[in-house]
Amino acid sequence: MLNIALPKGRLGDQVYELLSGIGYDCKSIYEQNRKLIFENPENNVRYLLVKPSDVAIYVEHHAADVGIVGKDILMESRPDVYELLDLGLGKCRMCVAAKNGYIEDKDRPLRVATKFVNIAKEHYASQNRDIDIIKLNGSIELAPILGLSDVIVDIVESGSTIRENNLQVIEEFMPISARFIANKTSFKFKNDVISDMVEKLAVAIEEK
Amino acid sequence: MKVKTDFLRPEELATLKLRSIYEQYGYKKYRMGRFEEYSLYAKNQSFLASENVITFTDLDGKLLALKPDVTLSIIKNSKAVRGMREKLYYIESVYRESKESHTYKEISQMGLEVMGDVDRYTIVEVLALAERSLAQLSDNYLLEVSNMDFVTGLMAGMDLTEDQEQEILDLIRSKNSFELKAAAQRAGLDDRECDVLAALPGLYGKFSDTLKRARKLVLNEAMAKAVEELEEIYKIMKALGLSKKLQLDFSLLNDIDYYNGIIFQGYLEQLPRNVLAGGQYDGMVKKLGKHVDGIGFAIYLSEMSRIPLPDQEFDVEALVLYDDETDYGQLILQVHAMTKQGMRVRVERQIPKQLRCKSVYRFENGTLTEVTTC
Repeated sequence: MLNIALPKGRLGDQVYELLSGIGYDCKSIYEQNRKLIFENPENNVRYLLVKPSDVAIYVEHHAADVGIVGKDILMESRPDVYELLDLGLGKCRMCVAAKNGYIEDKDRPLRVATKFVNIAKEHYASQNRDIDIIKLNGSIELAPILGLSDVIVDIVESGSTIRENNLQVIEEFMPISARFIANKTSFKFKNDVISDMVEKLAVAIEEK
Repeated sequence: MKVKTDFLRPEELATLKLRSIYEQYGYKKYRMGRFEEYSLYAKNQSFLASENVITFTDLDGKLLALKPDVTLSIIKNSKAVRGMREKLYYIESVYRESKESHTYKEISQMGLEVMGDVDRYTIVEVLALAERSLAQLSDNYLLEVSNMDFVTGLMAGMDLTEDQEQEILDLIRSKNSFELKAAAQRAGLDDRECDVLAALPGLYGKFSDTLKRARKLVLNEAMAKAVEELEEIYKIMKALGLSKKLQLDFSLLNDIDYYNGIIFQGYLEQLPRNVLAGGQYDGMVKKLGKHVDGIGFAIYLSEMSRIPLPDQEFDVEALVLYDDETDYGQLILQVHAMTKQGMRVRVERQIPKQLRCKSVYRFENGTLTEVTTC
């Protein structure tokens, strides 16, 4: 039985469509209930629905054999897993944004609000810029508006949230998309299934 | 020539102004090394904001630390004895852990310390200097004062274990009067004591009103003396014209092993945390083996970088453009003349990004021509 950690939400739905198309369907997933585990014994798969930011944790700790997770989360937590395929889904960019008309004051540390503490630290360390990190868990766009921070580091998809809050992207530094990851042990013991899955997925993406 | 100060940061301007105030009161600037022997901090960890200290081994094998605190070094260096005083001020960097980013940060601090005999005159002088310092930083400030002897006097009469005492102190600090009452009852205190403890979190506000309420809660001589001391201080501060922004808050409590008596904190409306903290620290002086008293305060200059700068309309008054044909000897003479008129001038080949300038000139054939405004 292959355990697949699927992120809840839109990305998870898209990925499930992909996987069911290549022979790993599991009809019970469409049932309207609060279950978190769905199984199809016929094709030997079990889907686990987890919070997107937890997918890598399930896979790293071997609770799931494979999973689908955003590159942003991989960069932030750097889990010890194999990153086997770029699914090309959920594309967005990691950006630095600030209020419209913002001019940086280089005479003091830059205050950065973000969910992605490690990514932000690494980004500014590479520029030798001293920063103060303010860790937030949501509504990051509020921070510069209220003067909580100078800039934010966040993922931007269409940019409409940024624009509607009178902010502007001042730097893009990391393209992001969904990745197919595998636990290192599973990859060795269930290599047939996983390799087959990666190959078929690669073809399916190509055709899209 | 008058030095322009309008481009200084608020914290830079503050250091200049505060230095002149402290010098006027006869305080001398004290400069210390960046490194201290680590043992000083290891022995007094609970006095520090965090136990994490940057350490390294010196070439002679001694374990040194980048100082996380200034007051400890000053006390250790002090030669003050009974009958005389040392009055010092300092501007120093300290190195502390930032809990938020889990990294070390350099924090700049300015402070003032008196060591030796600390009498009521000294306390009032230090309080007045603290308040005058705050007034330099912002118009909208507040100085909150307490007398720790009021609470320690109250608790001295109670038979509490160390854990109970710690719990009760923490609850007072967080103004949690509901849980405070429950904790006091659990500790087996009598009704009157429970009531007084539960009243402490609410014992704050305008100096004279709060003092009136505090007087009604006095249970013993130590508490009565603490109230009397505050009354006297208030009277003098009022005569100095410094009482309007003074507040009393009996829930303000520092570590009772180190601090005693008058303690205080200063707040500016624009800043999320207190920007000034101080008080009497006789306990700490004694722990370091000196038989004198101490009082002082520190101002966190790094916090002040959070104050938004007034919006500058322009970075420079003039941007002067030139090219390969330009006689640069004439150009610099021209620039020199412009700076003499008090202008800020930037010389470039092209208009730089993100530069706000009042006017743009091109320097050609020895003359300036205004191009456009940007």
